[in-house]
Formats: sequence, structure tokens, C-alpha cells
Amino acid sequence: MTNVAVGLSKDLPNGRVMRAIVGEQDLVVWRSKSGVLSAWDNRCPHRGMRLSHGFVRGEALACVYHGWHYDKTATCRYIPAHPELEPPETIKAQRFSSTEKGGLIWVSIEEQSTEPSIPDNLKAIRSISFACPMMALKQVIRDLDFTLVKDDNSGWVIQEKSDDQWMMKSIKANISLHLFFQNLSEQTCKIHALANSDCAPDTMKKMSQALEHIRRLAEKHYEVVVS
Amino acid sequence: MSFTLYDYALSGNCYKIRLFANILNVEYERIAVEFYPGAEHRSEKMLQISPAGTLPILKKDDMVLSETSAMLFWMAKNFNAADHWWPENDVAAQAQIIQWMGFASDLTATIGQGRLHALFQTPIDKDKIVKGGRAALRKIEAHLTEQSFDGFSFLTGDKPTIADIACFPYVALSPDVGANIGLDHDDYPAIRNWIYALKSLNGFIPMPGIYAMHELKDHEIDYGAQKPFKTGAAQ
Amino acid sequence: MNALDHAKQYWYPVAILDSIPTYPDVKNTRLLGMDITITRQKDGALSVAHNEENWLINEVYDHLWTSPSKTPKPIFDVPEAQERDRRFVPCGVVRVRCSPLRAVENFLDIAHFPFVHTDILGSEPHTEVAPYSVDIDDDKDEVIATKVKFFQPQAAKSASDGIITDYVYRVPSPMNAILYKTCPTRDDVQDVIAIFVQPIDEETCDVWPWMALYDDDSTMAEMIEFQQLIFLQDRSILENQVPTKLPLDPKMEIPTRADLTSIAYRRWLKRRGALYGALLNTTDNPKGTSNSVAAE
Repeated sequence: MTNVAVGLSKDLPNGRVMRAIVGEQDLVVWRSKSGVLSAWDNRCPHRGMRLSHGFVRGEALACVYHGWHYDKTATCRYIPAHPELEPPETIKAQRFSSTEKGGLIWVSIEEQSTEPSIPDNLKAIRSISFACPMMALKQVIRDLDFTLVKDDNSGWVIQEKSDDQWMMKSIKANISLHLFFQNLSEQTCKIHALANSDCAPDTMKKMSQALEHIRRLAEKHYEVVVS
Repeated sequence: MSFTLYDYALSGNCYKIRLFANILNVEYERIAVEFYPGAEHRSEKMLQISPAGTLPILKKDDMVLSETSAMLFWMAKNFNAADHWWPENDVAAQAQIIQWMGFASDLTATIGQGRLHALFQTPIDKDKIVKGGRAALRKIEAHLTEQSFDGFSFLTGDKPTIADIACFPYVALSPDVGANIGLDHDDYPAIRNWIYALKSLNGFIPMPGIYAMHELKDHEIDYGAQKPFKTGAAQ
Repeated sequence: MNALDHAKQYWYPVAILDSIPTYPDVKNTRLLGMDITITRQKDGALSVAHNEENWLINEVYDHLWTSPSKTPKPIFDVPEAQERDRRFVPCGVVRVRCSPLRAVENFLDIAHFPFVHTDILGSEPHTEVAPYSVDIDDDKDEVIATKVKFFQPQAAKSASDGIITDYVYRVPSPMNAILYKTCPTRDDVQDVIAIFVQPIDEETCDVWPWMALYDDDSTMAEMIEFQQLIFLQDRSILENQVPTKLPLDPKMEIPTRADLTSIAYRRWLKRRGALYGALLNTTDNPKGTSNSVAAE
């Protein structure tokens, strides 16, 4: 599994918090006010509250339940109920390795992780969730037969670069759409989509709409299979 | 007082009016109505004020409004809100706002109903409500994503309108309906950023299910001044 | 005795007396994983049945209580319920997807007020929890926390300015808790606020807040709304604690001195075998292990 793409960098500005799932691991992914990215077990060691409900104060993430502050090493530095006391260094959330490359946020929950492979200079389009298994979604994309841009009758070429990374290319329209798959559960998955960097807002909208189209097809296809 | 609001603290629709009034810095008279468990909004006394039998009710002299869209519009005009809330001379923008105000009713009918069920076990067709709620969130997510490509943070442009206020509560409250049914915000990055933009507005107030904006109370902690915990501090 | 059998010995709230449907309508609900039906007979008498077997009932504190046991432990006493000049306020019921024990523990906690009940029950920078006392009253077999003090910007519906509020907490049975707090309008009496918890199953509960107040100014709607507002803020927390059940292994979560009531409550539950809705060992949930104990 090594590094898994969990979101687009642009969707997590400084000072914000999000939740991500990698395998069985529930994660809080957050960015400090100065931009430092972290990914931890999504659980405050105090009372088990999901840290993804928390808030960023400067370079610390605070739990929304009792306001315990954790610094970028995931060590608790401040307990508001005892403002004068320095918390023992043993109070820590569990950390995982996170990195950013090519406009994506990557998390690894394994000890060893390899550098994610992604072309530079891509333009982030969007992350989109699907209520169908990843296999069903991939099948629908393989069978796609539609044109994204007017006057482009050439259709799409699909390149399966790896299990998690595909590229859809329209030679004639000079567009490439890079799809990064994230499995969430047996019934749900996500795609994080990026395009070639010279893509204009109108084309970005068409790509976003194409992803909606793919979702309608995939979920409908899956419903038929299930019933 | 500028107007009277018949209100219920847990209602997302009532919250629209409280929120907008606070943003506009308008004071009003608030009358709590026991929506639950007493169903006071359907009492004879309340039906005589507003036959619609719903909350909120905005009353100003002889004027009685029961639709939140109408209330937000009236507030924007009556209290001289900044032009971006209801752009006076931009008919296209007004049309978009009215369109999203209609969408806000879909949110009430899906997420609003689903939330009442989750809280108070009111009878609903849960499958239909959840599917409808998810479709609504996907629709607004897709729209906000496209807006972001043009550099816009809000539903119809770079500044909020009364449509953003109208759609905000039940989008923000969708996790109340239940977990793992496609109504958590984890699946919707554009919605998350839109919620953050609205919560950052001057005059924002929370309601149950929408956390206070603790981020903005930035305070520096002098870690060096802290004394160590004593061992066995809990004893 | 297993967790369920232990839980069956107690009384549980299942309805507000005033809102039980009239004959022939019935109210269906669940208790400890069992379906039950509440009926008001033609003559007005109430009954609770599970699989056509009638259970014992008790009409007290504005609620209908029932127990699956034929010989339940006596219901706890709230002496203030006899003080007829108080206003008694049943606040309805709210469904929460959490262990009934998590709901009670949260009710006993004050340190969350500035963050969860911001500008109502607490506000920054007044976050410090001063030392207080916790005891287990062996005669009554109750957990009792006393001398609890906390700064509150708006302590109750009838309060306008911030005050230092005094609290006493009682846990008279595993799924019920009562607090006594400074009455904002009178020095000589204390307001009583309770939560009565109906365990639907180990990971779902219906919570019935109830109050007995000295408040001549607020309308009933205002008093109910205030309590519902507070509890709905708690609900967002309760549905997001991991694990859903209450861990009793001290290695699983890290308490501090501010959590003394919680520590006593957990020990008291463990000692008496009140394990319905609890996790006894970390091995029940290996994912939930944490790395240290700060202050035990």
C-alpha cells in the first residue's frame, strides 16, 4: 500500500483539518498556520474524541472536546483544564508519515514507504467520492465511450500506469486527466483527479462534470449488478 | 424592536434568521417556541399567529412571514445590508440567488427531515431521505468546485449572498443525520471550505451541531511558563 | 453475572408520563436490545410489555420507568422531587449513537464547557478546573463529586452575567446522573438537573434530560430549549468518541486531575460489574490502545 493519496493539497489550506481513511486506519490530516502537514491516528488520547473535529491554533492542533493542544510532533503541550501545568511528554497521538507531491497529499501507514510517483506541474481538479466498489468504478472507466470536449471524436485512451494511478488522454483535444484511486471500504472509494497544467477553467469544469458522469454510470452499473 | 422572531434553538431554519440578524448586527425580540416535545408550533395559539404551523415566524407589525427565503430577503432590504447580500442591480445574480433559495428547501426536506428523525425518532422514509440528502450535497459540492475554478468562495460569486445563508445550516448539519451514509463532510472538500468561509464571516454564531469558531481565538501559550505535572496528579 | 443480566436489575426511563399516547395507540421502543410496547389502557392505567410479558412499571420524576427484572433494585431517590415549589421540566428524549455510559460520563465532566458549550457554560480563558472532591458513598452506593467550581458566562436561562457556579454531582445508578448547581436567582437553594438514560443497546441510547428548578421568570419553552441546546452540543461529541463503548482499562484513555469524577465512575462501574456499554480490556479493541497514562 505504501503511500496513498488522500486529498488535494489545494483542498487543505493552512490552518485546516480533514479526516482520511487508509486501509483500516482512521486519520486526522491537518495543516498548521505556517503550512506544516501532519497525519495522525484520529483519536485524542484523553477521551477518544476524533481529532478531525478539532481546530488549529497556530502550530498546534486542538481537540474540540477539552481543547488539549498537540504540537507538530503529536505531543500534548497544553491542557486547558490545568493551564499552569506542563503536560507529561508521554501524552502523544500516534503519528504517520505524510508528504505532498504533485498537488496531492500522501499518507503512509507502513514503516517503509517509497516516494510517490506523480508527474510535476499538474493542475488539481477535484476529489470525488463514489458509492460503489473500486473494481466496479474501474470497469466503468475502462468501458467509457463518450467525448469530453466538443469536436473531439477521438474518444479517450486509458493508460493504467499502476493499480492506483490511471491516465485518461484525449490526443486530439490535448487533454490528460490523471486519476488517483483511494479505496475507502468495500462499498466506497474516491478519485483524486488532476489535469495537464495549461488547462483553462472551462475545461476544468468539463472535467469535473465528466467525473460526475462517470459516477452516475458507475453507481448505476453497480446497483444493477447488486440487484 | 426591529421584529419578533418565534424561534427554536435546534432548528436549522430558525438559525438562518438568527445568524443573518447577528451578521447584520440587528437586535430583535426572540420568543422561544417549544417545537419538541410540546409541538407548540402547531398549537391553536401559534396557528393563529401563523397558519403555516412551522418555525421560524418573523413578525413585524402586521407582516407575518413563514418562509425563511422571504425573511432573509426582507432583512437584507429592510436593514440596508451590504449590496452583495442581494445585488440590487444585477438581475442575473438575483435569479441565481432565488434558484439556490429553492434548493435550500430541498435541503430542509431531506437533511432537515433526516436530522429530526435522528434526534427525535420522527417517522420518515429513511432510505429516500438519505439518498435525497446525498444527492443534494453532491449537487452543491459540484457547484462549489466549479466556483473555485473561477476563484469564487461562495454560491454565486466572491461574496456571500442570502442564498449562502439559506443553504448553510442543513449542509453544515448533515453529519447529525448519521455516520457512513454519505452525509459526513469527509467526502466533500469544496463544502468544507465553503463552511469555513461562512464561519469566518464577522458576526458568525454557532448552533448545536455546528461548532464555535475556536480557530479565531488565537492565543499564544507560553509553554516555558508551565510547571510539570506532579506524578499521581489524578490521585 | 454477565453485563446484560447485571443491567437488567435496574429501572429505566421509557417515556414522559404526559406524552404517552391515548388508547388504543401504543408507543414502541427498545430497552437493552429488547422491543417493548407501552400502552395506556382504557381506564388510563399504563403497562409495558416485552413479547407479551408485562414488566414492572414505576411512575416517578415525570417519567414512566420499567425494568426487565421481577425484583429490580429500588429506584434512586431524588428528594428535591418532593419540593412542590420547584418547576419540574422533562425535556423530551434525544437519540445518541454512543454507549449509555459515555453519555453519563460526559454529563459528569466540566472541563469541556469552554469548548463544547462555548459562551454558555464556559468560555476561554476561564478553562481551569480547580481541585474538587470525589467519594463513593458506601451507604447509598453512589459516586459523589463535591466542591466542583467553574466559571460560567451564562449559567442558566435566568442568568445574565458570568458567575462562578458550584456543582455537586451524584451518580445513583450506572445510567443516571444528577447535578446540583448554583441557582442564578436565589442563594439559598440549588437547581437540580439530571439525565436519565434509556439504553437502547450497548452502542445506542435515548437520553431524557430532566430538571427541577427555581425559576419564576422563564417560560417552559425557554427552560426546555436551554437544556436541549446544551445536550445537542454534547451529542456532536458523543457520536465521535472512539471506541463507542466506554473503556474501563486505565491504559486506554488518559485522565488528569480534572477527570476525577470520571475515574471514580469508571472504577465504580468495574467494581460492581456494570459492564453493559463498557469495554473491559484493551484486547476487546486493540486499535484503541494508547501509549501512556498521564496522571493516574
